[in-house]
Amino acid sequence: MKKKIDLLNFVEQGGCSAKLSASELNKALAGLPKMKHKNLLVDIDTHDDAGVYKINDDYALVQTTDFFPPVCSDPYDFGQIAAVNALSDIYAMGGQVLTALNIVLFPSSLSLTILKEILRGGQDKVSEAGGILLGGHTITNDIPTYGLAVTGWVHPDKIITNANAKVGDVLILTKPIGTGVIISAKKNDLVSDDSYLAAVENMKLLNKRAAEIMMKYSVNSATDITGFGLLGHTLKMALGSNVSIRLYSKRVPVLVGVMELIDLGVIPSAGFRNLEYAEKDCFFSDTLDYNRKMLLADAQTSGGLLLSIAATEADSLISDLKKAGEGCSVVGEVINKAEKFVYVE
Amino acid sequence: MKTIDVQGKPCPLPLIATKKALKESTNDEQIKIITNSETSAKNVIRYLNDNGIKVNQQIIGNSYELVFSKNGEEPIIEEAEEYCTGSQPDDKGFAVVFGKDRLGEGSEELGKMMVGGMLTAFYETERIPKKIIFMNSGINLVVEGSTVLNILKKLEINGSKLLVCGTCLEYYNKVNNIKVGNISNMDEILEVLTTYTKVVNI
Repeated sequence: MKKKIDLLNFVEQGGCSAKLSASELNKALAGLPKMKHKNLLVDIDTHDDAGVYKINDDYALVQTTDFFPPVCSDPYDFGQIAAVNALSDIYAMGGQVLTALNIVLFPSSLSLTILKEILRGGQDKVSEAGGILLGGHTITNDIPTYGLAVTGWVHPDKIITNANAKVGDVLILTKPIGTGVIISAKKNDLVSDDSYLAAVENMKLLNKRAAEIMMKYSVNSATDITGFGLLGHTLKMALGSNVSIRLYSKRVPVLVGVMELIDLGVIPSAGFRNLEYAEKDCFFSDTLDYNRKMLLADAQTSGGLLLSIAATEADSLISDLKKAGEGCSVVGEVINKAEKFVYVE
Repeated sequence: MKTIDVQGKPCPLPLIATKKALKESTNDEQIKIITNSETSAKNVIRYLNDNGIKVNQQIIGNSYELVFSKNGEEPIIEEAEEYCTGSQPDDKGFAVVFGKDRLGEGSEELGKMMVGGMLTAFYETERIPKKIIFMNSGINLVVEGSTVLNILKKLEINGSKLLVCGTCLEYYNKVNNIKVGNISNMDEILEVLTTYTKVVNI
């Protein structure tokens, strides 16, 4: 065993997810004038993954940013995960990565080799995504924080939003969930090395290949699963598309060790917050296991894509994803708009 | 009433403690969780309510006292006892700090032998330290070649947490030789030294 710096020591113990809650953010944004422009194709209204700005009839820019404090122990892993997480929003819109800028906050007391490892992780993933890193901006801060601002492009007619799921679609998820539980358990030394490392590998996996395969099909709607959890992002898709979605909780793939940890009580605050946000629009079946419900609400870092595609096309998409070695599980279906937006069974 | 004080413990540790207490309690035994985090209190209440258990919540100063029982009935709080944090008995047990790899001053050989004797005595008399900290040459006790690895392992199995100073391991270039315990940092060690009322310095 080699002694290395553990970046998780910099994060407030158990630090219940760094994201400002959606309701607080809405309060801050309330009253600010909304910017409108004829070229603005996707803006903040639909809570989509990235903004899209049309340059001409064949070309639109997709722009997004994401950064956070450490979610894992190793600096190189952290750099990779933060970058993959930021790049993912481009893929969720059906876009391709062009350029990225580093966003860095770093303690002046910490060794620069650690910073170098974080940046190397980010750069490696931007390269893997086929993009170019242009530079960035670094300021000092007590808690190391890293992420990217990413620019991609998409054909204006091929934008995939989270607001176009159609009745009769099936929902396919490309990565297992439970990273929020694992990170929280790791901070408190409650997780086995095996499950922790499996979660890190999962978070380091780019959604690039899954997105490329998705673009070969007429996928109606897509989003990546991050801070709002599978439940929250499914709800956003249902709300945006004005349909209802049935989620099959038992078919949702889970990272190794997660269910045991939830049973122990490792339920991060972000999970409770997500549940609070989503539950008024959800119906939970009587037979739904409590631990499964909390799993669905677990905030994800660098999660997979949730794809909504016509049932007739789904089989062939699934077989393509499997051939490419990507994960894929059918986790739900789109039904006629009913009283609630999401029905969890 | 079973009282569990999780003040200062980050989430989700209060929830873990709550679930454990429920598992270990009888149906109508009252359980009291004390936390000073509003979020933790909220999450614990939410968890209990979701599982059909009513909670009696009292806010005392900066802390939240949650009383409930497994059968779910909202407990009628027994006449509140005088509560004063200052006079609460310390239930943390004690911590032992090895700042060197031998006991006392004088003969080095004797000092090294006595370490083994002392650790064995801790074990045999069931005075299990909650934390054992190893600093400076104390780290020699947990690395390859130490003659007390077995007894330390036994103490660890019986509930001692072994914290080994990472900087010291690095200084002596023995990071790769550690055989028992966890590599720790000054933060964690200070937490023990400043919150334990009984710290035995060797």
